[in-house]
Amino acid sequence: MTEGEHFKEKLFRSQLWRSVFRHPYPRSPREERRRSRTNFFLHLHPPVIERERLKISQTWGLGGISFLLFLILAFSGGLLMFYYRPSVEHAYHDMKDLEYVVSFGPFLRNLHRWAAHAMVITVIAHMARVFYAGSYRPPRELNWVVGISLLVFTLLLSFTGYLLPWDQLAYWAVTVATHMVRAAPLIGADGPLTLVRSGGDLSALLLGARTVSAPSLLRFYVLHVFLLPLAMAALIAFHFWRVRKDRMIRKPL
Amino acid sequence: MEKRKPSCSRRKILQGFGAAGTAGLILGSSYVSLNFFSPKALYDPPNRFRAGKPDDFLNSKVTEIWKESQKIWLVRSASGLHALVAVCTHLGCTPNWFPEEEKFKCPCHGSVFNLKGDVVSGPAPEPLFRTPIVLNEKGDLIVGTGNLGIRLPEQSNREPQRSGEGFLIRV
Repeated sequence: MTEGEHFKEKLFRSQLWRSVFRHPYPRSPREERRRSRTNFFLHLHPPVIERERLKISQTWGLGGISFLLFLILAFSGGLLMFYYRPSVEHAYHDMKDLEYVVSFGPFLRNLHRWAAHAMVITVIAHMARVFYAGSYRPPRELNWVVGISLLVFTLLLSFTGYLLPWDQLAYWAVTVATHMVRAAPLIGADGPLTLVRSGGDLSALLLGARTVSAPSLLRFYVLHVFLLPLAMAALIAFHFWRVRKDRMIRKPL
Repeated sequence: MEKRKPSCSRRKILQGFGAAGTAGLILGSSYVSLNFFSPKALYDPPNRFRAGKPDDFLNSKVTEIWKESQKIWLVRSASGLHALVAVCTHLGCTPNWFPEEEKFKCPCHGSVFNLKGDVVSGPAPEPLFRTPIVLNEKGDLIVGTGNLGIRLPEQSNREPQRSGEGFLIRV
């Protein structure tokens, strides 16, 4: 036994290694299935899948690409948060600092921006693919609804992120958008909620003020970096779990 | 004695009370949760400002010096002086004044208003808002800012009020 093999043998038998990898490398389909069940990362994917279903044209991997983009967005967004302060005084200048001062700042900003655009596209394409395949039909109808919620959350995240650079484009785009919200039935500015009290409509709840101003920036920031991603992550987990429980992507029903 | 079958059992009634209580709890807590997000104090700028003497504004048809700070145009028309809110009634952008055409034009979606604030073309559903304009005892103009162009339930922009007392200084 060489030095290297000796070391490997020792490593594989160590408590540390075995606490992470409970079972040795699988040597039979049975062991493979057991490993799939007991490993957190592997359990996401079924141990057995029909060869037919592995064709890329079955799904075009659109859900997976959307999730990858979500991870990229969460990571690049987390890094952007180190340099961005959500106040009227600082927001625009911090964004400019990210563009011109921070190492890899432009790369991070562009990564975040392009991934966000791409995610809207892939999520919509994913929805279309599921629709054309008829995969919204029972038993998958609940997961279709969850998927639509995820699409809405994707759009809401894009919308809230749009204000954060606090430049002219952001300011007026959100002014226009929140004026549109005022026209919403029931929860809009002309609905019954405002008859009770001014500021009870959806637009005022979003903005925290009458117009786009300091409280609006803070609200959009908190929604963008905390509430919406949290809700989205929880729904994504449920979405994936349902995909497994609803018989994966096996034969069309 | 014949035992009467109750039309509604005790259990049913208690279940009803329980369901009603739970529903009330959920509704009430939803209300207070939503209420948390509703702003209680609005740190808006003052809703009126002193603009100066009326004579200062009689030379040009539209005075733009208050546009940036107060979002107000002071407009001189044949009948007198009125104040227009510089917020498009379509979706809230700030229109621009074109003196040679005597039109207000919104850059966002192309709404066009005339000197009186009426819609000439474009998607705007209503005329530009007018705000109260009065003279104080020193003869200074006191102009309302129109709550930043957001119409409150008690405000109306319809004809009688727009040209009525308090919305026009006759000169």
